[in-house]
Amino acid sequence: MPRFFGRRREDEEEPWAPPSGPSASADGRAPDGRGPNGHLPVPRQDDGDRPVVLPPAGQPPPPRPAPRPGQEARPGHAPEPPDEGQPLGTAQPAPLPDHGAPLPPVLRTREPRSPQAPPPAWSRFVLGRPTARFEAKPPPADPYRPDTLFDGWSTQGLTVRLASVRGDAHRYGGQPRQDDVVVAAHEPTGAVVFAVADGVSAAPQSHVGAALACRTAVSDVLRQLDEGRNQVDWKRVVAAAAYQLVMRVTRGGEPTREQKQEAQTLLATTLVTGVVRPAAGGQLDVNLVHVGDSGAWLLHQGLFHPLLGGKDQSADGIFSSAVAALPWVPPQVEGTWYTLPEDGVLLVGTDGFGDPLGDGTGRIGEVMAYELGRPPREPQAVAQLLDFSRETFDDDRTLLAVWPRHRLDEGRATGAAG
Amino acid sequence: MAENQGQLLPVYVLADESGSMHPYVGDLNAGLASLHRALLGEPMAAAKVRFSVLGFANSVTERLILADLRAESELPRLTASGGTSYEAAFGALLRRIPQDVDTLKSQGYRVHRPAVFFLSDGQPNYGEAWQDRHRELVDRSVTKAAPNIIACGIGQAEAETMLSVATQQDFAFISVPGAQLGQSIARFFTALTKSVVESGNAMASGQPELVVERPEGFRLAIDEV
Repeated sequence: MPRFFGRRREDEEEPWAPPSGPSASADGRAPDGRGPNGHLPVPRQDDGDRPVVLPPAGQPPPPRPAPRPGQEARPGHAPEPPDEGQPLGTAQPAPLPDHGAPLPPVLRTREPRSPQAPPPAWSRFVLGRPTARFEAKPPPADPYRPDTLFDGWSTQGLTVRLASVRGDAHRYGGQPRQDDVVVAAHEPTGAVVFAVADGVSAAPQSHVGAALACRTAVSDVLRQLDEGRNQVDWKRVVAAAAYQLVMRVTRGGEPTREQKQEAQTLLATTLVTGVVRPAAGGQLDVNLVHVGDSGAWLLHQGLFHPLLGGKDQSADGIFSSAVAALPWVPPQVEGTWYTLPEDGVLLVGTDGFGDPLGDGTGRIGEVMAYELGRPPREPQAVAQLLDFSRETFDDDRTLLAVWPRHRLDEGRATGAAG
Repeated sequence: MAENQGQLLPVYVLADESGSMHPYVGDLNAGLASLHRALLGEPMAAAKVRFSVLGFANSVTERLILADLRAESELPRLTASGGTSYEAAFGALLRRIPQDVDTLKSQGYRVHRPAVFFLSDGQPNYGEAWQDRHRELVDRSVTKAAPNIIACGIGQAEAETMLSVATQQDFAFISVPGAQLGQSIARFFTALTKSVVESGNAMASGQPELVVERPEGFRLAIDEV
């Protein structure tokens, strides 16, 4: 039976739950110290061979932070896990070891979670009527497309957080995440270069298209920055990304009309790509370009200001999910410039984020504004935030956020809300 | 535009309940039940659909309006008697669809272009000017939420009639005798739902295309004329 050390599923008991099964034994441990199933060993009590999960040594149980807006919608939801350094296996306060006193016995294998138990801290935020619960199906094996990715780091002047999560429709149907995102720091200029792409659902290999478009766009922008260009040639960037998609079909050959059409049918993807730089007074200089309906916003003082078009209802009031997408290249490709205030944040996201956000004045906007007003310390906080559950919003979601670094609370860790 | 509560596709089944449908009404009811089961097995699609059933003979009976099928224990049963007024059928949609779209939008939903499944044996009352009502319904300059109509001819339906009703030639079907009508419609419907709610590939400046797979047991009406 598989065991999970250091992480738990939602339906599993906490490791410090009262024992109800046979006591565990270290019998069968492999010579290398691994457990009988090849897992890493767990700490052992001094006076016995029963496995235990120890709380962090020398740390008192951390205080629980105030509930966050997203948690209010989840009855009984446990608060955010406390400070970093807290092992996931002890996400809820456990009794401290009283030296000399025996520790409470711990189950070797977790039992299904009690319906009365509060959901774990990493369960999905529910914002409105939740989507149906189910176990995700695996996507096709090749190329490997993880369900969720997140990343985060800071340059001297900028703090970056991003996440890309597979939508519930794709989880349910066993399709891959068709969104993608690439971000890179350009050290000589202090710039951060990014690309966000949303593979078109109707194109069967659009996840490949999205990955290729992002990588190609960021590579080309970095190259142009290396060349010392003052202004990025966005037409070249978009053309390079489009050409890469066509080359995927032709395998390097000169494309025929039919192959261009095939690339559009197979690999179509939207693209937002750009450069952000720290500017005077802690502001951000942003230069970006887009093909298709993915969006970009300035989040400032709780309000979302769209920087790009994005999807909207047509004049007849009817909503369409149709998009323009690479490798089709619009006749006019021009970058747009923005200077964002020192207490603002640049958000770049696919419509899986933009559609439920709307104009940002509803519940989802309220939660996003609260959580993203400052950078969360832990990059995975953005992944959890982005993976909120609301019925009918089952598209892949990708969000890149860039703050001036001075917005990052680099003192004592304070959790996502900062 | 405030926050979106969700994205919905209004679907209408406009079913012929005239006396001439008597041999097929059992199949139609089985088809609706099968469709219901199929949709319950697709929770992501089901959440996005609001489902209406309008039966028509000499007049129209609204049997189900904007229902969330996940909350319905069973679908209404169709019957067969009386004449076949296409004029009444399209007139009812002409009133119902704009009203329904406004209702859903006022509740904060984004609304996809409605889809109508027209199921008939293709024998309208003689002398009716139903084409005028139909034209008003599908003309987007008259009816902003003009629906896509998929016409499914049942029994000995005339291909030309189905082609006149469908909003694209590819949306007009006639059935093969002995086909499993119910299952075919259910498969057709679920394919349509997925197709509509997924993002389309609009290419350059093209308009979104509604792409539906030919249901098993149906032939394209265009092949018959």
